[in-house]
Amino acid sequence: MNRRIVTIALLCLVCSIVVGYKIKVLGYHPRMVIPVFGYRLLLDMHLDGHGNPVSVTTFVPRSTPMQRISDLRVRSGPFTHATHTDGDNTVASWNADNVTGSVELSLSYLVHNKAVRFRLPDSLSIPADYGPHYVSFLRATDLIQKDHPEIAALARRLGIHARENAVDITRAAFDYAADSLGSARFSARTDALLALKLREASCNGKSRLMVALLRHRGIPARLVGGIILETGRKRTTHQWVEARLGDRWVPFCPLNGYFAELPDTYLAVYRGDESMFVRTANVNFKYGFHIRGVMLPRHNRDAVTQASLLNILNLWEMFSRAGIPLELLRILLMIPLGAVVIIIFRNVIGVHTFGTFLPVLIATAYRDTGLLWGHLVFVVVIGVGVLVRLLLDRYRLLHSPKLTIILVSVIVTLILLTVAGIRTGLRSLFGASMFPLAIMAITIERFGIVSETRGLRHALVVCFWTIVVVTFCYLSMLSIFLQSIVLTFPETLLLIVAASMYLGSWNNLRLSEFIRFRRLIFGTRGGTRVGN
Amino acid sequence: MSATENLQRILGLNCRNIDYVSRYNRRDLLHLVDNKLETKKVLQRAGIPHPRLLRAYEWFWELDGFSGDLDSIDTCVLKPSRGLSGAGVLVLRREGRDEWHTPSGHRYTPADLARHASDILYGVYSIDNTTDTALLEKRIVPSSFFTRIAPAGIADIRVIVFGGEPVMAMSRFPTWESDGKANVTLGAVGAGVDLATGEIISATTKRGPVETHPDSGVRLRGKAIPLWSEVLRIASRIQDHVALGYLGVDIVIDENEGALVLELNARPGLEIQNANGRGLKRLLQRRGSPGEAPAW
Repeated sequence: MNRRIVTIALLCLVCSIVVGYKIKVLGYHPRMVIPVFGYRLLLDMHLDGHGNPVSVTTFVPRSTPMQRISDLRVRSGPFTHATHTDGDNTVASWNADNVTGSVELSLSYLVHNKAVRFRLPDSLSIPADYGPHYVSFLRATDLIQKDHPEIAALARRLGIHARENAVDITRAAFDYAADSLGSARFSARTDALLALKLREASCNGKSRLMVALLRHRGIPARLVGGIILETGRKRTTHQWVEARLGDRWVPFCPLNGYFAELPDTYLAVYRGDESMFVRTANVNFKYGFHIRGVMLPRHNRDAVTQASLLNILNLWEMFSRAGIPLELLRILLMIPLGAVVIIIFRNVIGVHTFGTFLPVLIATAYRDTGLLWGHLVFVVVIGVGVLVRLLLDRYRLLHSPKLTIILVSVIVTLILLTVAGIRTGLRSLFGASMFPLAIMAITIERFGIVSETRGLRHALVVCFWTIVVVTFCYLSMLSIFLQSIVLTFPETLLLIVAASMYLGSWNNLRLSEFIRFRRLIFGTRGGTRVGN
Repeated sequence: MSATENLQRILGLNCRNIDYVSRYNRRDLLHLVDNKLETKKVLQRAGIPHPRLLRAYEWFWELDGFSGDLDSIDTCVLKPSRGLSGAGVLVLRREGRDEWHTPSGHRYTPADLARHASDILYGVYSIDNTTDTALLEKRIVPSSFFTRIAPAGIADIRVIVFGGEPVMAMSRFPTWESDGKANVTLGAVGAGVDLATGEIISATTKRGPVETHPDSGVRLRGKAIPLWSEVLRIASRIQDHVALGYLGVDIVIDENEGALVLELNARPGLEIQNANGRGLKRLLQRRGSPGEAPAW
């Protein structure tokens, strides 16, 4: 009956067929689009150079079945940054020959962690030989004195000597380290022997003693260094134990009493008896971990295996292998949705904004600043630009040259805001440099023209609505849930086409016109005629 | 009458754009109304009265003779050909050998005016900021009917014509608030005019219905617009020459020359409905569909 309605119905039909096929045949699950809770961890490092070579190294956690690390970002300042693999660890290093003044370095990544719990068998024998790979996990070290007479005596007292069941032995060693040893509040480095002598220790002393006892009895064991994830700022790192039981490394935390299990807040950063930081001395080194909760898209590794033209996840996997950041792609795919939000505001609600798709681009720029700081940057840039434009008025310049000068003011303002962010440590302001320059300049020019022809009041109203629409664009485009839907089921873009087609021929009154024509609609009009 | 019934009568922007402007106004003909010089040429050919063009300045070298051109004139209007909502329009009256005044009291020397004309050529006031043509036009002498009601600025009559027939009309009276401009959103009074009789039936400002003009205090309802049948005749004739099916025709009444077409608008505003106290949609529907591909 109507070409448009038929097309809209077809688009919706195709979309639901593809979604249905992916769920029924390719094994997609609707749950795949529900985001998960994770963390953004930022490690801030500060040091002062005195003209000498400086080197700093730390570790970057690896993705394992228990923890997924993504979106690694590094800030190196004047340093040369490199990462390399060292055994079980990934080492990040910063080097510079001649450092003067204070330098900020940082490392940041997203973490999605899972809680783990191992079901240990009732009985597990200890193999006579684990092979050459495990020699280092059985060795005595300066801090893990596994063959010291006092450790041997403890092992005898705990009955570790006599037992053959690795699970029992591990339990005995764990119970001693966890319960018999007091928990010390101090966090200084404590070796196994000292922990035993003091009869109390913090996480690293307890862990070393447990490792010493296990190694003493011939069970490979190692320390794990990491961070307990909790939102806020912290400097405390944590250490716990992994023992080789059967063919798996099983975790134990004697300080917090986790036996063969860990909660989802344990982020393993490195393995072995290492230090979180190794660095040149006398550089006034300071560090801090900033941790905040974020929503993360679910990682649908299982679905990626199915080879099918419709299995879009293979494509994204290919993108990320090619080094194209998925974070960016995710936002780009959301631009059409942002555009629909704008259409609704313009054609259904009936408010004016600067530029047709400007709010979408602004919302994209807010990715790095967040909503509130983004609005602040937007308002400051527009404010400064409008003042500059006012000053330029007396010179009576042509359009493009005037726009170029406004562009300069935009760039300077954005750089100053970024500098202010660095100075005050307000990371959100760093994103100011990501704002679309030319579009901001054009917005300023529009603001000027609108305030000249329709008055400043009207220009401010348009500015207000632009900010409102940006907010809605931001909320819909940056929603991890909606992003996951579009990324997992890109055929939903057909629904956007259908929605645009519907809205494109929607000829009803806009909401704002109900106000504009209220007297005609609801009306008792004073002394005037109603109706036709 | 219920609110839902009233709702059916009102033309909104979406409906205007989808069902009228984009359906009846061919994009390739819009330049005929967006460019006032072209509009004048069409009106000239058709023999439809309009304010006389004294001179058009398309090139900068033509401005060399600008001061000389002013010598022989006492009143005029200097405006951009492709301006936007009245920006860059100067209404001028000579007040001495080298001095010109606008109604709001700004003073200009011939050199100032030449600079303004060069701004226009540069495109400062044009819709898309590209180069433009400056028009020097004969200034209208508003009919005493209008100056008695609105002492400041020039009042005009907006007629919506659809398929060659006037559908709705409003007379726009400038106020001090609108700075002499006949634009209701800037504060002018919009007065609905009965098509059959030419009498004002109701009036509104952007703030709501009014009975009198805020500056002069003259009561508006019942006043009959002079030369009304001539206004309607001119409005209906336009579409024989400009093949845009949905058009706003702006007409002024000159004391000496009678009804003159000031400009045409392919996207006429909707405030005319508030001025008339009635919706436009049912009236347009009643005219039927004059055919999607105009036969003009």
